[in-house]
Amino acid sequence: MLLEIEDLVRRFGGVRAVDDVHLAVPAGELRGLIGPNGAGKSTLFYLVSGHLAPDRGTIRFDGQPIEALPPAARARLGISLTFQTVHLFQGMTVLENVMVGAHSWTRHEFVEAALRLRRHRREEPLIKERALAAIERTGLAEWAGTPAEALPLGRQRALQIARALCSTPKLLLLDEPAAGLRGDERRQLTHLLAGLRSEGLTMLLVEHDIGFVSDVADIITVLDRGRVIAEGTPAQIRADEAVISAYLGSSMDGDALDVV
Amino acid sequence: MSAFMQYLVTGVARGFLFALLATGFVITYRVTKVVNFAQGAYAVLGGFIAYSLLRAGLPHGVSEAAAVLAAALIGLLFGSIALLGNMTPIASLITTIGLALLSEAVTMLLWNTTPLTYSGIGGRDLVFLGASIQRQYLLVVGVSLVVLLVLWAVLDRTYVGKAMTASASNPYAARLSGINVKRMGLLSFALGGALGGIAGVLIMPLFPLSYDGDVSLSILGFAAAIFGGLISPGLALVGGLAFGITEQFVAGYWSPANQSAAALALLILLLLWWERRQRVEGAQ
Repeated sequence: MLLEIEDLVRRFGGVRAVDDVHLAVPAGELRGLIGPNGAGKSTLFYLVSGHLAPDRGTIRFDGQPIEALPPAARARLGISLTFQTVHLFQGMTVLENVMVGAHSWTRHEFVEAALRLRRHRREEPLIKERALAAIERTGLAEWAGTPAEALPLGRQRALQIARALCSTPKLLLLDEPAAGLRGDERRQLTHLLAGLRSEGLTMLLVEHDIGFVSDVADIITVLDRGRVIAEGTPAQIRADEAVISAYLGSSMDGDALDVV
Repeated sequence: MSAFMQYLVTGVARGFLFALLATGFVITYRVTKVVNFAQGAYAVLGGFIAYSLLRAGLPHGVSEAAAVLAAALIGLLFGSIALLGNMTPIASLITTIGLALLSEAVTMLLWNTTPLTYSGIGGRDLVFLGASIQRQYLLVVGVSLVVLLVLWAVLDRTYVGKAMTASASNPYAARLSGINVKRMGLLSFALGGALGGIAGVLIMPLFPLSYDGDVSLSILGFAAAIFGGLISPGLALVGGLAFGITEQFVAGYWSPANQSAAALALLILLLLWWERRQRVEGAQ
């Protein structure tokens, strides 16, 4: 198992946002993580990324416990992520934004760059090469020199994925990458994720929208009120009574059915 | 003509001094959003340390290099104090003013209040368009240019520079990409220290420094940095030269008593312009 979560608990005041969650994702799988509003999806996401600390339980990555490590250390181990809210480096081009993603594997320091020492001379072209490959992979080639903030939302999401890919991750965490995207942008994203999956990248996709996850995920885990209530293939999940009632019970406003 | 050239050369050398300090302000500000008012103190400390090492018998070159290294370490120390905990940039700024005052006090205790100087590189003065120019001026300009060019190349043309800029632009996302934002901030303070130290050791043979000389150096370096909106090293150089030359012409053709006043008047105009530009940008 690449990612193994056991007995994970995180409380906010009296609320158990994540309550005794077990989750195991083997290498190469695209796992969907869905649930109605307040199910604990984002909390679980941030527990894995390291932005929240669990009250109890373990998270193992590649066999190694990581629950006590800060986010930067987890990034160095090969966990990359993209956010629902787009976080860009303003005033930098698309290429420069993506290059920053390389930080998790670069080793050379400022002094080495200033003096043009060997490690800098070796890494610098490699960073650019990987960044360009990631840009190509995410369909951003024609925007490489554009200021990142000038891109439309769908392309900014793709930019975040490119930045994550530049770090050559073993596990990619995606937080609602389809939220707010138009139909054609969603199709491009589905295509991109399916492509990355076929190349063997392991992904954990947190989504609100069952339709989108069903199109790309191998296995879907459903959370409700902090607990795993179902796990299975998209077809199994869509037929699952507990899932249907959880979604219907909490989403008479209909947000499970369409994208907000 | 010869007087004009003399003022111009002196002004250009002073300009590079301000540009080095301004670049220190710019680098620290770009990465941490902190205006580091201890910037001038690095120059005084660097210069004084070089002075003492030379007096102790160490050769030129070695003394200056050691002093610059010491200034970088002092920058690192000041940075680790000014960036303690989760201080806001304004709280850090106030802290740097405190550190500057503290460093003045320590400097006065260690070196007393007399302005200090040491001899720079020797050799006969060069005669250029009727002005005789000490070789040290050429050294100031040459070394400053090389230092500024290397820094500019690293910041704007390399991956390391991108990572530093990224920490400033979006610390949250930078952290997620695995960047240690705090460490980048400390690096920027150390670079500020080194730049201040370089300015100090270069300029001391030409203009004796006293323990409280850091205030005017900080203010003029800051003024030059404002010229580039606190983020552009290139414009900071232009600003530095503008201040250095203005100061020397006012001193030469009018009165040395007015040189600081003239430079400060220019600073106030610049600040008004900057504030206005910020507002226009904010409105957009």
